[in-house]
Amino acid sequence: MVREASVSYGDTAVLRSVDLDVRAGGIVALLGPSGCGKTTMLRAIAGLEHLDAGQIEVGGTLVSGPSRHVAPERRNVGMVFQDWALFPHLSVARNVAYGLGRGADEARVAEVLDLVGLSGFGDRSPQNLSGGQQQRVALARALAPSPTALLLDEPFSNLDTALRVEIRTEVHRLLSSLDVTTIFVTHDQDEAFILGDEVAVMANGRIVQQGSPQALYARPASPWIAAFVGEANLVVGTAAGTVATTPVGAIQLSEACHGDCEVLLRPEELELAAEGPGVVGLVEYYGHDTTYEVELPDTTVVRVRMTSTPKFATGDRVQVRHIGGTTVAYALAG
Amino acid sequence: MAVLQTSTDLPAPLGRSTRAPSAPWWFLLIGLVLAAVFAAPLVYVIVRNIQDVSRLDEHFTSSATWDPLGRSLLLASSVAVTATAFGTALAWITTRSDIPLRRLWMLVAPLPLVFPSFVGATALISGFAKGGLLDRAVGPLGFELPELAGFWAALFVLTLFTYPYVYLPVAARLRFLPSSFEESARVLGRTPRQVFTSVVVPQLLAPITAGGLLVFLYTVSDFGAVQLLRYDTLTRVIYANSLADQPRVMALSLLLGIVAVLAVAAERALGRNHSESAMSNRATGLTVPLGRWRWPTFAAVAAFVGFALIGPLASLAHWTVRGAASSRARGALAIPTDGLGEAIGNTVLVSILAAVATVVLVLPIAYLVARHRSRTGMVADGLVTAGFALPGLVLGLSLVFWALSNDFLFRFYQTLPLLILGYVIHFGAQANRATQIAVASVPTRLDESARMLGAGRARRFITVDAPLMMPGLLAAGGLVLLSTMKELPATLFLRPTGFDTLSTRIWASMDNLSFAKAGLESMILLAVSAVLTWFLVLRRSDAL
Repeated sequence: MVREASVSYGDTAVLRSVDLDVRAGGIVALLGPSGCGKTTMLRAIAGLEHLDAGQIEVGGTLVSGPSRHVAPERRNVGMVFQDWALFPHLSVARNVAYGLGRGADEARVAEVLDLVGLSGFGDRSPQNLSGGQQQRVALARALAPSPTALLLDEPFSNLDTALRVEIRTEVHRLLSSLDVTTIFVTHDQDEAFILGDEVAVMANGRIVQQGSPQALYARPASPWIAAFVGEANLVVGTAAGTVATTPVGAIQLSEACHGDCEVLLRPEELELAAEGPGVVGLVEYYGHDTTYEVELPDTTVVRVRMTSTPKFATGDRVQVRHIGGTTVAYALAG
Repeated sequence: MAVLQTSTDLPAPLGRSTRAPSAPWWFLLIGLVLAAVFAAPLVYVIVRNIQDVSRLDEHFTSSATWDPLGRSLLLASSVAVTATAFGTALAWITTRSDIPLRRLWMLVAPLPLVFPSFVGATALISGFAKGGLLDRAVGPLGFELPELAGFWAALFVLTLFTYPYVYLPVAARLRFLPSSFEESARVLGRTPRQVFTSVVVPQLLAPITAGGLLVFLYTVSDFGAVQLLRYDTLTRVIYANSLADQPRVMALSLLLGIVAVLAVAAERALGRNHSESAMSNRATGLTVPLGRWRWPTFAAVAAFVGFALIGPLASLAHWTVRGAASSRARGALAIPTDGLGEAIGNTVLVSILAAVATVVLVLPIAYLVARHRSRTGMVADGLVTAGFALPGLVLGLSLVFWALSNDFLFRFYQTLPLLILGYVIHFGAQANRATQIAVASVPTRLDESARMLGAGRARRFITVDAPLMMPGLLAAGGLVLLSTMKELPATLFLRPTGFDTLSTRIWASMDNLSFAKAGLESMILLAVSAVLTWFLVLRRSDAL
């Protein structure tokens, strides 16, 4: 869908030759730290930014290309803005009807409002709604004209933490039932993994890896991605083929590696046993699990997560064992 | 007065470097055409002088040129100093001291703004004149009042009616100055007096200088008051020669224009450099007790406000009542009111036309500046400001001379369209600021949102921008409406023959020394504009 898209502001390249494919009906999360270009990417698909190079197709139609720029209002792409951008002077119903043009179909408005669970809110003014309700109005407004694709810019970042999880589940349920091609931007790994069929990780204006959440978590393409999509211990070891020798023992690798390398060990793939060379430095109890920070004899510090109440205390001597399957290793340069 | 910053230095939303959407070529073209219109009178004055360059030498070596310029600069600087002193003192007293009836003074202090200088001068001259209010009050005591004329009279009158230009920004700054500055200085061991000079005054420098420059500009451009008070500044000399010697008038106009443009440029440059430091958004409760100076201060403030507001009003009312009384005694109207209704109608008509036309014409420029951050827009913005800098007298004269020398323009000589055009150019800058704020107040996201929903340019403007900008546009139009009602010299030169507004009637009445008639007409003008000022300016002064 997106081919080698590039956008620059003056001398600053914001998007560098980005490729992104989205399956019809699929949901793709653009995940990346702030300033990585993910919002620019979204705005380019919307037509709000002009491409300097590359091309964008929506539903098989070229909308941005070398000599072509379809105006945003002609793309039939729906967008929900970070702050929802509801028209403050229009009622909820008229906000939703806005994209339907003149002679707006009242039945369609009612239908979409019902879809987002806001039947009967049509006459309200957006300012008098809660954050979650405003977000649903924005979603209803974007969906009303039956867009070819739906774009969501940081859809939950304006909600407070308590509400966020609840709304996220609601939107998840809604999007799963709708079968509309969706791209959303987030900096939150949980959001990306929960909502996205696929996740595209962006950094410095490039997509550095795209794949299913599971693949991304288990086989990140670089140490940076490994740490960005979850908690990661990157333990230095020596690899010979598909086996690496590390301070926590021999680890099976899914892909061969040779020489000095960093081995990815997720905290939940490690466990502790009493009596060993490691020393517990810190105990963090989260309720559903407990995370220990353990210092090994060679001064490597690893985080270990166990789904139990704390069994060890700071200063206890422990042994760290790997209980996961195969993992990945990254060759250390030099 | 540092209003422009808010629209041009808008932070990118959420710190992201979003490009402002670029404007289509035809929109830039509209901006350029409008810019040319606003720059036209200034350009005409310059071109005329270049054409008559051989005689320029003669004008610029003659004391007949430099003496009036010297008087203009002397008067403008003096008024700027006195108005700044009184305005700042009054601002401090009404916001920080425990003067009795503080809230009342706060409310009343900006009101002399409603007096156009020639009405203020009218009121005071008639009050000092034989049979005037002040003459009647002190006459029986054996005092002979001096005739109100000359430098000191002009200084006195203009100070009384221009100090609000300093008072308003300084009071606003004081009201929102975080008390933590002063409190921390006190905690660090400074006395209240030291705190004032070391903490408060530096914070006020920006509004004081900006206000002072506005007063300077107002005075240097003023025509009505100096003419009535017979002090020969540049404007008065220009007026006296206006029909006799065009090249000389154009040369003097150029001089005056240069001085005014420099003053405006200085004010703008200043506004840009002084980034306001922390502002607290609630009124602070720091009050300085005046002690034994409490009642003397009260008396001084009362006297000052008396001269600036109550006195002039009373004087106008006094003459009106006297006129009415004598007409009853004689059984005939001593105040001729024929044509008064028409003049009121004309005033309202041209003011509304000017307000609407101005807002419509600055709106594209405001869009270019606030929405598109376009370079063309910035240039147009600067030229609109230049139109404001050109004194009304020079603007009116240059349009008249141009119309007289150009076959096409001659068709519009002494017609309503040319009069309205004059107002638009003169007051464009006032509407421009407020309009830019109105445009900037509509978040770009809403426009983008409407685009994503398939709305084209026209539909977006009608359904999203226009309704959201309406309050701001009304305020912008209101400012022009008020200024137009009070404008004298441009009206005098550009009006169609026989077309009277309240301003021109007051002027004519003063020419005949018909104090009673001038009093009545001034009262009507003030009543209409006071009501409008209250609704449009003072009630929203925090938004401007």
